[in-house]
Amino acid sequence: MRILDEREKLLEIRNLKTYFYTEEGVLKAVDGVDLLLHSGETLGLVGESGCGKSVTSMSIMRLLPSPPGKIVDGKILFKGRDLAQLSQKEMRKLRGNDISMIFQEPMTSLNPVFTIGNQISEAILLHKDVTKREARRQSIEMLKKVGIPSPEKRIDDYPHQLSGGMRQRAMIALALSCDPQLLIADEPTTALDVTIQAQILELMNDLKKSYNMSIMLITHDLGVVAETCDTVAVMYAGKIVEYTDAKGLFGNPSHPYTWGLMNSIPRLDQNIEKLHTIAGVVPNPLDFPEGCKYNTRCPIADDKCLQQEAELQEIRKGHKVRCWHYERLEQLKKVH
Amino acid sequence: MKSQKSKLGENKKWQRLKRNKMAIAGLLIICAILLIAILAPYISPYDPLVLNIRSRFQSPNSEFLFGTDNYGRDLFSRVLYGARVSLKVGVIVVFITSALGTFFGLIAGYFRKLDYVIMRVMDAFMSFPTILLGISIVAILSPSEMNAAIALSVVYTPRTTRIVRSAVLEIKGSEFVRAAKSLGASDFRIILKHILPNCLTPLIVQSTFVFAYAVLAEASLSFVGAGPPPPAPSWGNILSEGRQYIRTAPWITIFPGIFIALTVLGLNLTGDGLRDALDPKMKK
Repeated sequence: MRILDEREKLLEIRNLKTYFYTEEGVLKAVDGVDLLLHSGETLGLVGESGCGKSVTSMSIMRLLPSPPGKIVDGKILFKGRDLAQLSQKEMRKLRGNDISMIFQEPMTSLNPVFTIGNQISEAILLHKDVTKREARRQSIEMLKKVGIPSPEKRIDDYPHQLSGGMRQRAMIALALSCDPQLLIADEPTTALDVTIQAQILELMNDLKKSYNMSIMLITHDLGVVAETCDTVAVMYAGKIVEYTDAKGLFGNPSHPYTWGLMNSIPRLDQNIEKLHTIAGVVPNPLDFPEGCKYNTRCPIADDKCLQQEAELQEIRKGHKVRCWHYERLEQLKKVH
Repeated sequence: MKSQKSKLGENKKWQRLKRNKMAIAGLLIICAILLIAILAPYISPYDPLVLNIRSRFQSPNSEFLFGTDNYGRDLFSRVLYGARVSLKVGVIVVFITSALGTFFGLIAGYFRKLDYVIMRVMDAFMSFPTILLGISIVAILSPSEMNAAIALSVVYTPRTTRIVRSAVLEIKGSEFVRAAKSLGASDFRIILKHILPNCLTPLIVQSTFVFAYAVLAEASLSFVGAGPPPPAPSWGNILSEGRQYIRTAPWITIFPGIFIALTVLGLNLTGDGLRDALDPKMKK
């Protein structure tokens, strides 16, 4: 355990609870999430739509729509400072400078009425005390780093003059323009086609190494996780159900949900008639079932699961699972 | 390089506008009337205020192009000078409504708490019939050119506010605003730099319509005596004075009427054309 502790903790989330107070009731979007991200690492946050992964990231950025969203409990420790306690003004200094974010839709995440150079320079001028000329020079430098060809010319392009992949590169340049230590990437490759996806992921990996920053990668694509992440947290209905390193997750998925997800991936080496799916749908967040929230869809659920939710427990070193019957899953795996 | 690129974008919009024949026709009408208003002192053959009892009620002829009114004043000169009043009021109204409408619209659209207060006040103003509200305000302020403009600005600001607000609501939810926030931009900065420039298209289009409404409403106010008081000519009060003689001297009402209709038509055509050119999404 000592070796683990020597790595620098960049972001530590403890028991984060983010609720939305809607007219229909309290929506527990994130309900007691613990995460740990060391510097220079990539943490994957996986789950289907509505499981709370984006709300987690918005909580870190403190950009929740408020009201109705509110961080009810928990700590978000970034280099020892609790972000949940900071004022909006202090947060603004942090955003872009220490923590940056890239979004899913490169088509709309750039302002259509300004050139990309203008937007990158703006971010630089906001956080750094430099002249406009220097900001422009740095912008060109950034565009070069994210692999945009002839950046001296491209800097004066408007977003609509760039392709989707180029826009996402420009967006990454924008996010990294002030050397953040943490980059939150909210499904950065979902809107891109597969070849561009691979390029962007590679770019992110390269930049991570050269800047020694950490990445929190939010995705529903397990393929992306396998390629980029050091550790992975699988979320379901606002809670983490499995938390381990990428190798452990793919080698030995131990929560029935994770296992179901893996099984649902079409495989090239098998000839099957019908793809495996997880039965049912995500439960309505206003009306979660009693006990384990996965019990409506779980193939191995029993009475215990209907009554009580399991704690996140360490089943082997560095592998945590929130399930009563992770051993029983092993038998199921053999059948399939 | 930069100017070349942005020119390219402007060119495209200009091309789209140029292809729209109706919009060009509208623009030409507006330019012609603007020219008339500017050049009125030089092109009008007579002083619009000089009475000439001997030549009253002359029908249009070579001496008096549009005929004369009940005081023998040359109608052609009066209509030309009337364009100045109408356009002046129109321009003032456009400026005031755009400024106030943008201000309130941005605040209402961006800050949810203020939205309720501002929009309910605007709704209250909108619930009055246009002309009635205009007349009441002029009645309080006393009739004059400037007061008519102020009254009409009050009347039309809520509409502009609504349009700007709805644009803000749409833009506020867009990803680039979220991205700007995630880069540490303040609310003020986001409103000015990211939201305002993206609201300009609907605002410009709305302004041309407000211009048209204002010209029409100014004429209505003048018609009921709540505009610039006589003897200063405005299209509305010429029309109003001619009303009594409509059976014997219809030209007194016809000519200012034609000019009002032409101006409004021109502005509406231009507005439609601008909307199509600036916002191709709206076309279909």
